[in-house]
Amino acid sequence: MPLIENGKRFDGRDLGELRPLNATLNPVKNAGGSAMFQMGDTIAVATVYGPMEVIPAFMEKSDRAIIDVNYQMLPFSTDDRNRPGFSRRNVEISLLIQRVFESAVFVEDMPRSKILINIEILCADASTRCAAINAASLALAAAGIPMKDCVASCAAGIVEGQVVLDVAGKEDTEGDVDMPIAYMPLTDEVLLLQMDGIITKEQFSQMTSMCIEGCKKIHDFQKKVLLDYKKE
Amino acid sequence: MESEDKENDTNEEKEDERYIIVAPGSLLATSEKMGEGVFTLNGKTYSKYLGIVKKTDYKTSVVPFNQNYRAKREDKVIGQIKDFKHPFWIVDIFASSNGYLFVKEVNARTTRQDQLMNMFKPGSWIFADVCEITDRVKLSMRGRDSKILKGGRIITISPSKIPRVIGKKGSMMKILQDKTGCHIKTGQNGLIWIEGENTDLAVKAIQKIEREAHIKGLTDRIVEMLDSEIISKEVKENATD
Repeated sequence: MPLIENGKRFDGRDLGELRPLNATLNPVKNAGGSAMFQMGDTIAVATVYGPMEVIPAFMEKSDRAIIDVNYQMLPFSTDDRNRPGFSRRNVEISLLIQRVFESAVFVEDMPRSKILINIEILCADASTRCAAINAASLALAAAGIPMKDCVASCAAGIVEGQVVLDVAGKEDTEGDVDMPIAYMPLTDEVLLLQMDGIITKEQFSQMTSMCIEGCKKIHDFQKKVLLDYKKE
Repeated sequence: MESEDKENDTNEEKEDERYIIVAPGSLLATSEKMGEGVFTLNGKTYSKYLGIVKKTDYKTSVVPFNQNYRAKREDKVIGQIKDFKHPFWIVDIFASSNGYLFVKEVNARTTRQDQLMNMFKPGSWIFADVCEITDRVKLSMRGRDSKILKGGRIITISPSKIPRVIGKKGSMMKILQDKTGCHIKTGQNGLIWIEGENTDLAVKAIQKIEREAHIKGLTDRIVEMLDSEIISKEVKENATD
């Protein structure tokens, strides 16, 4: 069965269309701030604690806060059981999410402190790191951490030679290229760009612009969620 | 600090309808403005927090909805002694940094270290003032109401709701203490110490305040709730007699 037919994808979306988005603010009462972000079948829950004291003390920076990110996929999030705990992939994604938020949060405002971000993936259906970044930026805003702007993130890919936005399911496993981007609309900065596969220069620029358009849509959605929260 | 909070409280009630909610990165002004919780970029002013805008003629500020406690000078806080490292005790004040209580800031009858160590054991709770903030938060026990908290129980609420528990000029506090007969001390860091016979009722009332702080007519509802609880308790006691 082909993945793209008559300009429609296997799940009925257009090439440049995002999956349905859903978000809840503060589902976890114990945390300083938390958020659930859902892109299609991918669900991420982020909890933010702090700013708090740095342990061990030698990690503390006298001029800025450090951000500690723990990203993990829960055992039941994938089709096969995913072994919980330390893995190369978790460490890598934690590190890159940390770097994204170091440039979005005003770390200089909170010297000698730590901000802890825990991200669990409840259900994985491609672009988990994008959902994780979206959830974490909502959770940071809910926790009252000073930041420049919400960071929005989404992925583009190449499936059967065509550029598509927000790859999902089969497109991720059978597609050729996957490129997640994290983008901050206010400063017009790209905070994360990863890519695997071989593409041409034209395809790259096309994918980047498509991703940024998608990120702007996600950013509008995040803003709406934050502003609607207290209205009730 | 308390008086300032009370002023803020009255302002909040007056301007209830005209609140503007902003998210991080929301545009506040197209010129560079002074204020707290805002930042400027390319000559424009944006919000840093998810919160409420407060505008005056010369200032634009954003007050965040929810934030971890940050110590301010002259705040009264409740903390737990963690450790002694000469010349100070390290106190956990449930904030982004520890509090430090120096030996010379302790107002005790004795200056002998073994006796002081016995009074300020690790794990004991104290009610202290924040006297100075340098690179670390310094606490003082020289104030009039500072004391070591013995007995009673401690509950935690959101630090932003503490002004509501105190009320205008301490009115809510007075109601709580009179009706329940408990002795209550509130720390600005969101910890509340309650001592007395009817602590359950006081805890219930404080949790109700935290839940319903944003709805108008709070004081009346709390009085009503306390009265009905006290009456029902008396009825129960009479029935058992």
